[in-house]
Amino acid sequence: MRASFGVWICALVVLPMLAVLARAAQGGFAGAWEAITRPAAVHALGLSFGLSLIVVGIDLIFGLATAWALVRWDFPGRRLVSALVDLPFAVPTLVAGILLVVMLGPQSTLGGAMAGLGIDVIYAWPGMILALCFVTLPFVVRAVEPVLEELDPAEEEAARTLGAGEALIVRQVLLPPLLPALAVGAGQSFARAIGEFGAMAVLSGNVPRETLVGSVYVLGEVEAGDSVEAAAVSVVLLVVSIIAQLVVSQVNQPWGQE
Amino acid sequence: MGIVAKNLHKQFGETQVIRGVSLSVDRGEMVSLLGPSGGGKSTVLRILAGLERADSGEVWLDGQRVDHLDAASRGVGFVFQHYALFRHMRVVDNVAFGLKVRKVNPVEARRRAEALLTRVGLGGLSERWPDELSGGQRQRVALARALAPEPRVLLLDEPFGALDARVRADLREWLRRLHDEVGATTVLVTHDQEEALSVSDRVILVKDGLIEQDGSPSEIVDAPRTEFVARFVGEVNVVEGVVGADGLLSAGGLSMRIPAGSKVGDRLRAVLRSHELHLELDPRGLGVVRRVVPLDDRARVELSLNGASLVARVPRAQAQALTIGGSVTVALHEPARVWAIEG
Repeated sequence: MRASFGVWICALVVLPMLAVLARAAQGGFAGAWEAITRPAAVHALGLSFGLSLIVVGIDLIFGLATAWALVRWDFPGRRLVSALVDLPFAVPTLVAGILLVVMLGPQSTLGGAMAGLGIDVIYAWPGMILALCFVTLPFVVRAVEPVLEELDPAEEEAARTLGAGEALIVRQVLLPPLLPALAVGAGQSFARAIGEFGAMAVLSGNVPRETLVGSVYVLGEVEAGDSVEAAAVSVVLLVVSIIAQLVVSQVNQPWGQE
Repeated sequence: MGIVAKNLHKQFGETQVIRGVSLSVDRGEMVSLLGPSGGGKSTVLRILAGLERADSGEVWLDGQRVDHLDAASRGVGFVFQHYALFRHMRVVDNVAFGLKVRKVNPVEARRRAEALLTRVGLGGLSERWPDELSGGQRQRVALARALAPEPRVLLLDEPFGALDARVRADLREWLRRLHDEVGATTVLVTHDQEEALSVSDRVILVKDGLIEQDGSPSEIVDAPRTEFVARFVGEVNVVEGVVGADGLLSAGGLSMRIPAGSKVGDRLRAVLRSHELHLELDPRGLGVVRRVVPLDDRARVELSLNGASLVARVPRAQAQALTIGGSVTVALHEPARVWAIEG
């Protein structure tokens, strides 16, 4: 058991990471630094991180609302909605990107109307954020759902009989026990958003220093035969992802060591 | 008057859960709402607390009409069956919650919470998490939390329902002592008749959304108004029979005196409580002992009489003389409690 776990971790996690690090190091520290501080690279990485942060914020709000509706409300079609939440796991994200292009692209009715208002959705940040939210929302929903299921609605009722208003109940009774799960969902969404490739490739337009994100930038470098630089940028994506996971894992619950 | 409810009605979907319940509880009184599950007693309690809204009817607390007030403004303390403690707060913070909500300063809130915890016998546990406590301890914390803001009334919804039989018995005695000290107007919902009879000043039996009987524990036990009440509060035998020319009711091989008012030929249903049956060893007796279950100072004897099954409670000493399959005479000395057969 322990041996197979070790092999698995090495083959799928440690070795590839070492390989990327080794490749990035081939150009020496100076080479790697030059690769990641190139203006196009800085912009692509910054765009990835910035969009991912925005997406995590949106996911937290809508993911919590979705999980709440699924757990606390009984409405017709609840099971269908629950299945739809997982759709992004089942659909290639490339397809999701194409769907959005078809639905909101400049040629579509909706997209055309938005363009008339001066809002570009596709080949611009709004579309990218939309696609990233589609891909990452399930992480928050699925992280929060089980915790929400365990929360006894009687706790809210108890707070109410003790004189607490709704805002106070949300702040002091509902959110604290959900925080660790929200953090896990946020961390996973963030990492997933940073790494998202398929949907970005088709709907961002990939304009360097405008809409080109980190992951697509890496592909560009690979295709240009510049694997050392591609590896250097990959390492940045990787490290930020890992840091995000470590940070959210610090949000733990001191209670309930049963 | 501590609590007055007038003609409450409540419907959930198609189901009429409360169908005209009126009750009153004196200040400082402890009253139980007793009845089978699904009978509507918890709903009545939740309407008093403001956790449910009645479709019609009035609720008054301490002389103030509160129907329009939400739960947060009614000043009630509520204790739930499954404790409903805030798991992410330490015990002391749970108890202090209602005080902090009411803007009592944190130091004072904590001092009062600690004092209450000592009062409920959990002095040393303030810094624990709820998950680290036993069920009985958790329910005491919940009670302390409900009492902290000094509520006008204390409402307990099956508070001991999730606990072991032993802990239940201890806690209900403790609850009664606490009530005598604190003196809060209290309503306790329970489906356990022993619990209701042993802790309350008054018991209200609720069935199918209606009040079946409202009286002191001894009234309920000694003068049950309906067959349902008699069956619910005690171990009983129900037999059917006809009033004979001798003025006695013959039912299931038993002859019994009945209260005045019945005519010869009336078909009646009699409820005989298990401790009212007297057994005598008699080789020619018509009763046959099937099973003897020892219970502290008495024994529960299951027997058959002319094909009917009966239950009797007799002193242990007497039960020891009984043998399984042995014959006994069954007699009834008190007048039977009878109800005309419905329909």
